[in-house]
Formats: sequence, structure tokens, C-alpha cells
Amino acid sequence: MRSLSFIFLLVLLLSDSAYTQRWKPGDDIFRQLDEVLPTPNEYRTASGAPGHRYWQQKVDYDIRLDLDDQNQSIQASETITYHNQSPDSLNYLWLQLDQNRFKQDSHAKLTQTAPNLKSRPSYRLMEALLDQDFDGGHKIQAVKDAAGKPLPYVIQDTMMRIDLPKPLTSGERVQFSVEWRYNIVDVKKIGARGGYEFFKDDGNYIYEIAQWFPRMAAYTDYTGWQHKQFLGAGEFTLEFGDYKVAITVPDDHIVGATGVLQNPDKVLTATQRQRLQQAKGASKPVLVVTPEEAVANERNKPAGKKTWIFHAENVRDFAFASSRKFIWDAQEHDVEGNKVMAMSYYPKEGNPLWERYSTRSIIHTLNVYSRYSFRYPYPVAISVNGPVGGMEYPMICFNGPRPEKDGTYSDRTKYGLISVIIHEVGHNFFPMIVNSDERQWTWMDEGLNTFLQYLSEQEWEEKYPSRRGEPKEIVDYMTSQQQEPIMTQSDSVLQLGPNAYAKPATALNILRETILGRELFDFAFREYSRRWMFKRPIPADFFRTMEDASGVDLDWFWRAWFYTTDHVDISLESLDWYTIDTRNPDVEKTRLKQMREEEPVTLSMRRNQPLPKFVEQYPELLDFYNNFDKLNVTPKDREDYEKVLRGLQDQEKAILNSHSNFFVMKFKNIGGVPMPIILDITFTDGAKQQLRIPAEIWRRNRREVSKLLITPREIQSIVLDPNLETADADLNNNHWPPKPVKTRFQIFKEERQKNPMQIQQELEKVTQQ
Amino acid sequence: MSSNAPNWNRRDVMRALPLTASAWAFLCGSRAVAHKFYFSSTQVDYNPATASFEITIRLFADDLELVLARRADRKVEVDRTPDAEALTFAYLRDVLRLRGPDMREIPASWVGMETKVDTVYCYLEAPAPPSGLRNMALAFGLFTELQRGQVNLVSFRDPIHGRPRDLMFREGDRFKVVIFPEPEEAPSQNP
Ligand SMILES: [Zn+2]
Repeated sequence: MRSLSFIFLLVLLLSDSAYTQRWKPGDDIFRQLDEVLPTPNEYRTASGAPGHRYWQQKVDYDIRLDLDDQNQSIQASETITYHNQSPDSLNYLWLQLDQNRFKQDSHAKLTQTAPNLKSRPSYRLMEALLDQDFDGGHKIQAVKDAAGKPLPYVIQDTMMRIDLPKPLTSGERVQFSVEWRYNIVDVKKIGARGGYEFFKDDGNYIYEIAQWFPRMAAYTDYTGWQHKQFLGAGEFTLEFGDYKVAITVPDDHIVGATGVLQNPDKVLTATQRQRLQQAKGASKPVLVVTPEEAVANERNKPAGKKTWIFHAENVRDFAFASSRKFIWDAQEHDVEGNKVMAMSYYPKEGNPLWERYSTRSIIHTLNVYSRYSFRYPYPVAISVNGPVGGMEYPMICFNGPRPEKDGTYSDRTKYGLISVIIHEVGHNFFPMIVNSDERQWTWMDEGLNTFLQYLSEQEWEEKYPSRRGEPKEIVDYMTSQQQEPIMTQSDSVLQLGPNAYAKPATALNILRETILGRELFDFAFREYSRRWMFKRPIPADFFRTMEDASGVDLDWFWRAWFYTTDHVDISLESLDWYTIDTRNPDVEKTRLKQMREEEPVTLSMRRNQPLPKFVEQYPELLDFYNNFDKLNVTPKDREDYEKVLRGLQDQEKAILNSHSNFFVMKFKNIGGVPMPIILDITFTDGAKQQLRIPAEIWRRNRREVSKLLITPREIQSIVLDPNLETADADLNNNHWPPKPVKTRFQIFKEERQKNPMQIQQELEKVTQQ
Repeated sequence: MSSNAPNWNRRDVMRALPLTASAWAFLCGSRAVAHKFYFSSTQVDYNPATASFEITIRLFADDLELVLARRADRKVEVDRTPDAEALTFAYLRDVLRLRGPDMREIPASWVGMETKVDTVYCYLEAPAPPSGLRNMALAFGLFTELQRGQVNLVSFRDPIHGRPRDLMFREGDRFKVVIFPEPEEAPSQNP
């Protein structure tokens, strides 16, 4: 079933249409969420915290590898120590062989649909298509127990099962070793989260190595073994542990990796070590390998090999980068008392962007993320430039943007680089430390990370061009019909970008700014991060903690934003105005007279007015009714009023004379997502008022509500959602009196710069070419 | 209720008319480099006042530059190359095609484009029949030649005939007819 993803999709589509027939937007949104969430237990509490018997496995790795720069391959062996901290006995262990995704017969490859061959393909694409004999995948050479005896194993696509000679009981540990090799993929050709890049001009390679060692699949309390195949979209679900990794590379390579270098004396020059020392307490990045030295290295031939040894504690993965092209800079930074070495590795092709922005972006990210979650706990944080566009690993990440060959760059490249570094360094917090199940839920790391990325970008500079976060930016996706709820398994999401990044990030931003306020939200979000750091939360833990720590029932919010595809569209339908009848004939009849005078004069009335009238010619025809005005105040009226007043208490008299206006506003929830009703009200005397009504106003009627406003003033106009904070999709129904809103198209057309004739002339030239 | 209880005077205010047309804002996709997704979103509005379709296409600048460079056999930067606008229009004319109820193709004219960091907005206009979006067909093969799983989402707005369903275009898709959903029963009041 897992491998037959198209059946999964079909079921999803079928159930989706059944769903839309039954479901009306907004129905039952306030129903409590408990029936949907897993029942709390001793591992995961009802408050969203880890339970008193929470457990997770621990896996330690001791790995040695040899990077072959001639054939772009890796030969390696590892000893895995698996600590069974679960209450269960395990008869077998599952390991992940992520490189098998690149085998010619992988599920990922077999389930790829045919490309369109009707249009002109690129050479690169043809190269990739014709590359039918790239020999990808992990080649397992041996699996042995601690005594060196072979262990039986079975490979199922990207997963490998090792059968244990006897069950591994709770509290026990087992040690075994694996030997393997694999051919490194060309990232520019295949598109992967790690691999190599070849530089034609100088004949050198950059290696960004990840998903490279057979590693334990996660065994959890909520799903057992997490061994859904690696198909490409759903990322990684991993266990924490300690790593010792010995990386053997050509002796002129510079290596950056997860963890701390154990043998600088053996692999670094005295100058490099001294510069690293300078980086401690430096106020800006210090070059450990200068651009000139890197260019000189490019012309090098290695004399032999060097082994770089790294040690990393309490990480869920290990990645590294290696090249003789690397420029290397470093700056130690104090993150709330933790001294972190922030470092960047990049080729000359990355400058001038990288020397200016990379390490600084790392430091900025650590500062902001630590403030909103927990203090960054690791000793290093690294950003590497190579072929991978953007990918995160513990303490190290790979980021792609580079300037043009001439050293100039567009604002797109500049902000693209800063944003991707913030994003990938930010992943240290989610999911590298708050270790959510990525294979199952992309949004749990990407959504939370994109949210903090937005906050960090806005703290980088004023009006930073953030792509995601502002509510109005998500409207287009939320009103579209091609979407799934955020709570959809990673590989089944059609548009991962808007679904798992932008929408949850926007939802959190709205929760923070509009629903909870910054104080309640920030406390709850920090609480979630701290509760689950170095542990593995599931969605219910997030939902529950946010409610538990903020003291606000958010079930409706999770339901609407995470479990449905409804959108936000609240309309201001009508405004009715009432005042109290004072019973005073002098007041009321004057008012009625005034209303009568304000009645419009019809065209015929106006034209007939000057015509001579018959009764003017014969005044004897005029009688009582010609002079009677029922709106004139009579002594009888006044007498009656006095009588009424005599029967009233002082309090009641005061109510009659309170001069209050009663305005009844009616609202409709068209989109289905209930949201707070936020109103800017302008009165005729120029006064303004903002009214913020919590979303719970919708709890008894999901479709239509009204609100009474009592004021001595008269309303001139009302704007609903004036600060665009709710992602309201239709702004045309947000005004009283009604006011149409121009579309982007209409605004552009009015302001466009080139005239159509100029375009036509250019077009003729282009078409003739 | 005693006879002394206050009475209401109902006052006249202009009634707010419910409007059915929906304003449209834009979607955010992904930054060009971070976990790249191949996605565009397009809005087609029927404007009865001008008897035209107003088309706004939102796409990623780097995708466009890649395609234009390949077609023109030279480097194209959407914000710097002088004839980038004409190249873009020539390309969009090839990949975005409208067909009227009479099966005849309706050519779109160019209104312009603007670049916002990594996003490009392209604006086109086409004459609309009085039937609006009813029985219109659309083909949209934007960037499908790049063969990276491109998804092009098109949403519609027709203030006269209602809101048609979105259309999604992927590699290999040809003309698709704009479909209006069956009129739904009036939503029932919640108890
Ligand atoms: Zn990410």
C-alpha cells in the first residue's frame, strides 16, 4: 500500500468529493477536537507535554568513510549501537537506505509519470533522462553482529530490515556493523538533497554529503517503526544519538561537518588554527581560508589523504561538505551564554554575496530563533554553498544562491540567499531539535520554521520582502479548490509550498497577532519548543500545548485552519439604526417633520409645482385638511406626554432621554473559517473606534451573526478587517457604505508604464528574430 | 410588557448591499531556492463593463528567465533585459490560449508586467463574449517544457454567472472547459 501511492491518491480524491458533498463550509467548526486527536496516555499527556513514561530510542554511530574524488563515490563502514529504551521487545530492526531512491528501479523512479516530449527539452533534461545507467543506491557489502558474524537482512526499496538472532528486550542495547559504498549523485543533473557539483573551469568538485549512511528508522510509541518509503517529498524521521565520524578526503580538501573537529592539529595548518582562535570574540567573520588561498588550492594536486574526525552529541543526523575550492570564514557568537562558532564554506563563485551575508545570517537566525523557542544548544552552526538549493542538517546546511559571473547580483538573489540561510539554519530548531516526524507531517517543521523565518526576516531590515507570513498572501491558495487540509501526509500533498509552508506559517502569525496576542502566543510557543526539544512531538502535542499554555480553547482554530480547506470570507451585510422613542412630542414630531422634508422630490413633483392650481383660483374649496399637519404638536400631545412622565421613575426618564443610537451590524461567514470580527468605525463627528470581537461570536451560528453597538454618536462608515490581519478573501463586502475594491489588474492597468504601441513594436522585433 | 416600556424608532440608513464579486489577492509560493516548487497561479476575471477578460498571471522570475533564455538563445533578465516584456508576451501567447463558445481562439493582448523580487506578475486582456466565462475553454502550458512537475492553477471570477471551478494544468494537459458548479441549495441555518 505504501508503495502504491497512486491508490492512496485515488482514495484521497474519492473521499474528498464525498467530503465536499456532506460538508458545508463552517459546519461544526466549534465541535471539540478530542474525538480527532489520539487519546492521551502516559507517553503523551492531555496537556500536550511528554508523559511521565515518555520514551524514545537512542542510536550511536561510529563511522569511517573514504571519499573518492576520482570516481565521486563513498566507501564506508559503521558500528551502530542501538539502545532499546522502548517498553517493547524488538525482533528486527529497520534501517533507512535513502540513496536507494536513485536506483533505476526505485519506487520513487517507477512512480514518476512521463514527461512531456512534445516541447523542446533542455540538454540538461535530456542528459538526466538518458542517464539510464547511473548506478545509484546503497551497495550493502556486509552486515555483521558485534562478534563479526553476518546478520541476515532484507532490503525493501529504501528500507532494510535486519533480523536479530534473539529479541532485543526493553532496556537492552545491541551493536552491529554495516559496510557499504555508493556513487554520489550529480545534484545539478538529478536534483537531490546532497551530492556533488563539478566546476568545468577549474576541474574541481564540491561535495555536499547527506543521506549517505544506513541509519536507523525511528521506532515510536504512536506508529511503531516509521518506515514509509522515501519517495522524495516526505523527508526524514530519525533518532537522537552521538556520532563519531572519521572522514578521509584528499589532503588539500577543507571539510565542514555536523559536530566539532577533534583533530585540528592533524588537518589544519598552524595559520588556520590561529585564525580560528581569532574568530573567538571577533565582531565580524574572520577568514580561515582566504579567497586567494582557495584559488591557489584549485590548481593543487593532492599529495595524499587526510582524515578529519568529528564528534557530535545528541544529534539526529550527520552531514558534511568537502572541497578544495572552499573559502572558509568563522565568527564566534554568544547565543544567550552559549558560545557558538558560526561558519561558512563557499567557493569563489559565491562572492561577493557569501562573504558579506552568510555567517551574519547564521548569527541573526540563532539570535531570533533562540528568543522565540530555546537557546541554540549546539557548539557550531554552518552554512555551505554548493549545488543544493537549500537543505538542512544538524549544525550544517547547504544553500544555493550565487551572484552572476561578473559579481553583480539582483535583489532577488540577495534576499533569496539571506532567506534560505535563515530558513535552513532555522531548521536546527525544527526538526533537528524539536524532532517531529517529517515523513508523516511536513508542516510540523516547515510550517513552524517558515513562521519563525518570517519573524527573523522582519527583524533583519525594515520592509524585508518576505514571501510568506502576511495573511493576504495566503488568500489565493485558501480560496483555490485544488488543496488538501494541512493535516495530510507529506507525500500526498499536491502543493507542498503553500500547504505545508505558507498556510501553517500564516495561521501561526494570525494566531499570534489576532487571536491570542503576542504575549500569550509567545509564551505558549516557547513552552511547546522547550517541552519537546530533543523529543518527538506529534500534531496533537502542538495543538494541546498551545491551548494548555495560553489558556485559550483553540479547537475551532485548529479545526478550521488545519483540518479543512475552508477559507476566510466574512461580509458586513447590513447596518440598521435604532434610537429610543422619547415620547416627547416636541422631539419626536420635529424629527418626523425633518424626515419628511428630507424625502426626495420626484421629477414630476418638481415640474408640477409651478403649475397654477385649481384651489388657488377658488379659495372657498380649502377646508380644515388643507391646513392640518398631523406633525404639528398639539396641547393634547403635551398633556399626554406629561401624563406618561408622571408614571415613570427618574431612572426610566433618564433612559428615554439618553440620546443613544443603537446600531445593529449583521455579518455573514461566507468562507467557512470563523475569525474575529475586527471593525474600524468612523463617526459623523470625526471620532474613530476599533472594535475587536473574538471569533467565538460564531459559536452558536456559523453562518450569520449580528452585533449591537450603542453609542451617542452616529456612524459614518465601517471597515471590516481594516489591517488585513485575517486573510479575508473578499474585501468587496468589507465596507459600509459598500465600496468596491480594485483588483491588482485594474490598479496595474491604470498605472502601467509602457504603452501598448511600444510593446507591439518590440514584439514585432522579437517575433522576426 | 407595560405600556410605559420604551418603543423603538426605526431609523433609515442606506442598506449595505451584499456583493458577490470576490476580491483577489495573490498566493505566495516558495522562494526560488529554498525547497523549490514549480507552481504558478492565474486569475481570469470577466469584466462585463468592458466586455473583457482581465488575466493576471503570477509566476516565478527564475522559471521565466530560463524559458525565455532558451527561446531567445541569449541571457534574459526580466528586470534588466530591454525587450524582456516583448519576449514574455510572445511566450505567453504561445502557452496561454483561450477558446470561445464557438470554438474559435480569442487572442489576448498585452497589458504589461511587473517584477516583485522573485515574482513576476503578467497582465493580459482578451475580448469577452456576452456569455462571459460560460463555455469558455483554456489551455495553459506555462513552463511545462521545463519538465519539473509544473502545476499551473487558474481561478476565475464571473460576477454575472457565478464562480466557476478552478482549473489545474500540468504537463500534457490540453484545452479544458470552464465549469460552473451546480447551484447549491441555500445553506441551512444552524440550530
Ligand atoms: Zn525547510
